[in-house]
Amino acid sequence: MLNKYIFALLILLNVGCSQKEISEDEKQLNMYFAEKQKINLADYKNYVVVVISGNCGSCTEKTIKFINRMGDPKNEKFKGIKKIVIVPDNNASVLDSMKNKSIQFIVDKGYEMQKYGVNFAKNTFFEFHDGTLVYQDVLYLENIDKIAKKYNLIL
Amino acid sequence: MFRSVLGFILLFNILASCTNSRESKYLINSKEASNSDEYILSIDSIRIPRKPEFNLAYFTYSIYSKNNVDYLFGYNASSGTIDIIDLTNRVSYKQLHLSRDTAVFKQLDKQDLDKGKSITDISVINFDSILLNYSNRKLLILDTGMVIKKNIDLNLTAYQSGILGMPISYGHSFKWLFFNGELLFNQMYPNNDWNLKKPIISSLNITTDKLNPLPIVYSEYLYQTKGKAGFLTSVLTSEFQSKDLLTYSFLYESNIYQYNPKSATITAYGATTSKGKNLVDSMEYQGDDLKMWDKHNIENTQFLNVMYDKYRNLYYRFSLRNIPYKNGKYFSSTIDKPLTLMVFNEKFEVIKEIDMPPYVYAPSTSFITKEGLFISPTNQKNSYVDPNHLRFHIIKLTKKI
Repeated sequence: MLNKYIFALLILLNVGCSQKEISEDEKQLNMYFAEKQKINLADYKNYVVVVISGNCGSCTEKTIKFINRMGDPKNEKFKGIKKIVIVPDNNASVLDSMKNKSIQFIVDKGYEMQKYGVNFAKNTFFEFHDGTLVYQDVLYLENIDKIAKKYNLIL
Repeated sequence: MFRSVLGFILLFNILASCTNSRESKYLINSKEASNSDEYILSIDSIRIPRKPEFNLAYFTYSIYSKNNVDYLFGYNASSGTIDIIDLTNRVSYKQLHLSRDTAVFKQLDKQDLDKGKSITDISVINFDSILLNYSNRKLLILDTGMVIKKNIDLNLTAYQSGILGMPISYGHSFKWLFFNGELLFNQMYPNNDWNLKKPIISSLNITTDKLNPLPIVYSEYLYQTKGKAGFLTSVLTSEFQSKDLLTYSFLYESNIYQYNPKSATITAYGATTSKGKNLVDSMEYQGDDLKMWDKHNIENTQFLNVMYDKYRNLYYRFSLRNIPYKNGKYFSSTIDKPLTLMVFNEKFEVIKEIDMPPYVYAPSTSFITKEGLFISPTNQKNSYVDPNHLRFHIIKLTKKI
């Protein structure tokens, strides 16, 4: 009898421990997409999300180049991967320089990013595989070269 | 249980008294004017037909009056122009084009995102002498044809004047202004040593190109906390000043200061608000996580520029009251902070303190003309934007007859 309880407890503990722990940034991102954009990120298996910061001067020429290369259909690394870029309303004019059919651009109207806590200090790059965050980095100045190298993007 | 409750009450009292003693050490309490009941506040609304090439709101601007007509000179980054709006006759008056052929202007960022390629401030001596601050690198004086009459390298001027630092100005915070015939700048230094009290305002003679520091430093609290005021470490001025006195204030505290160059004195006045914090909390976090900076910014009050109304002998100051950063499962933003207007008489006694309606106003676009205190109703959350008009609300203070 006791063994049965111990076994059940072990199963419960196992389930509890194997629950995926997600970061605060990821939680906020999921909530923003679900509530504000009515997009369930879990519907995509593999996807990348770029969040452009609302800070002045955040969208440098290099950032724009990176995003354009990311959406280049010839790029093998991003083939078959859903690509989403969120741009705050105050930086929305940069979209003129980032026309790309294979990327879903979302303009954050009404400055809701702050409300959902996705107002990052610098542009942030997220990569998800099978719904799990596998890579997160800051897409800003010199760091862009590092990320571009990782994905074989020539800037 | 009883002990826990008692402990909590004691802890709360200690924290509350610490805050109070901190405020009482560094701040002067405001005093109500004995005749405050004699004033009536009303708000009017105006609209100025907008030509399509003009902006809906101006962030970098200056007010100039001539022949009883008030003009707004505003920087329009997308068209690369200085737009002139006749506020008195309610017309979009003229656009002055910053020629892209000129080496200086061809680099201007049309989206105005890169402040290294922007006009950060404007001042107007007359229609033939318009001063532009080009990215805090150059002071340009232009005539009506937008021909550069004078080009002053600000860093070189500081260096040649023996000042190791940069003179800067941003129209929305430390606004350029002429004081005693010289142009005032916020003096910045490459390294802030909070053990040294260095002048924070410098004065430029635009004829001799000589920059002189004024004997004005931050208030004591900022030195005591080693400058840990987060986003709120700023000295503020406005172009609306009383004669012979320079009124300035700090984003991080409620006190208002006046510098009298004749007597070489600085007088501090109490201007505490009745609701919210009056002194910023010291921000211990020094990393670059924007959320931590946002949290501190939102959970503290921002005291905006003090403007003198020479037509009514009153001072106005807006402030954005502190609110909790966490709002249930969401986060508050600066836009959610309640906007308060305080009106003072010449002795800085309080005449009015009112909370403005939420999500309507953009206090960074507010100025004074003979009609009253103008404020732009272009809050980022104000969904009603009239594309055909430039709109302003005018706050008017009148005395009962």
